[in-house]
Amino acid sequence: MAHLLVDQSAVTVQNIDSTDGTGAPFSEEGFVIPVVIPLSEMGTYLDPAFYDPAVSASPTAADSRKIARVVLDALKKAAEEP
Amino acid sequence: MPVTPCFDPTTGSSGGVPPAVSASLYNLPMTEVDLTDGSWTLLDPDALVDTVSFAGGFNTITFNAGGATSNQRWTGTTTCTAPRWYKTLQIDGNTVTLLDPMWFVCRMQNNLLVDDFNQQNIFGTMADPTSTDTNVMGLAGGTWLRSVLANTGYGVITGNANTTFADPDTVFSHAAVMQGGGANGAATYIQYDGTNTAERAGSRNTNILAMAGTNRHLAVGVGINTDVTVINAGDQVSFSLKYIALQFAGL
Repeated sequence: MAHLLVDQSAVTVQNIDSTDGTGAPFSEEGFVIPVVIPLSEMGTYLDPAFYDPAVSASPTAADSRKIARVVLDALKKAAEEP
Repeated sequence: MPVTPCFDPTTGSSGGVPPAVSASLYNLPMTEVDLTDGSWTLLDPDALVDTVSFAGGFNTITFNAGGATSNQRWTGTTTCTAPRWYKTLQIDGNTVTLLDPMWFVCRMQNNLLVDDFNQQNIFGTMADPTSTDTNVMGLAGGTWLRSVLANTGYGVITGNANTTFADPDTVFSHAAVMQGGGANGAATYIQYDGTNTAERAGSRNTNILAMAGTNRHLAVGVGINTDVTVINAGDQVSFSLKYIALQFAGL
């Protein structure tokens, strides 16, 4: 699987009033975690063999877990910092 | 052996040509915003504004009945009919264009004694302040918002989205946006307590490039901060604003 990065030093807690990926407005206070997807890896992520939005089991559990852990590790580290 | 100039060839004075001296950039004074001074134009498509007054550094807006529509918000919608005062940005009589490299810096202070409805207000620059399409306005600057009985959130707004934080100890905030080449760069803010100690900071990318239009404008806007917020006739908001705009040569 392609690798995913978090810009850990730029993680902040803010209130965001914006729109989500579907265009729906939201207002939420929370951790803002910059996720960096290298352009060189885009082909992997956009390949339907990796992720097909029409397939409920996509991406695979293993790939999903790797992605989730990158974000959750960043959240955990930020939340535990003084 | 280095050659040391003995005379200024223009003036004949000793010591050679003196270095160029520009105005000091230290302790630059900020300009106070007085919405009643006659320099501002009000765009108010929904006729929300009843009166405006200015006293003690604070602008106080008294409203007609309104609200309860996403259109009177500055975020979460692409149609914004919220009232805004605007004017062409000028520095020492020079009109600043969208292409000019510059910084907009502002100071915002909400009047905590006035707390009539859930408000969100903005102070920044726009490409087209007469538009009700947030994609055309090209807004970037500072923002402050407050729900009734809550702390004031300060931060920055870019387009129709904002990044703020409501800190209980914050008294005022300042924000800045780098701009030029027809674009808005990132916007950043720091908010302070009563001793000028920073309480919180943040920033937001604008993703606003290649704006249509010619000149950059200053804009002060007021509005509601939820789709269901009702404004009753006579409700008010009150705030103090200052700004400085810097335009550069030689990039």
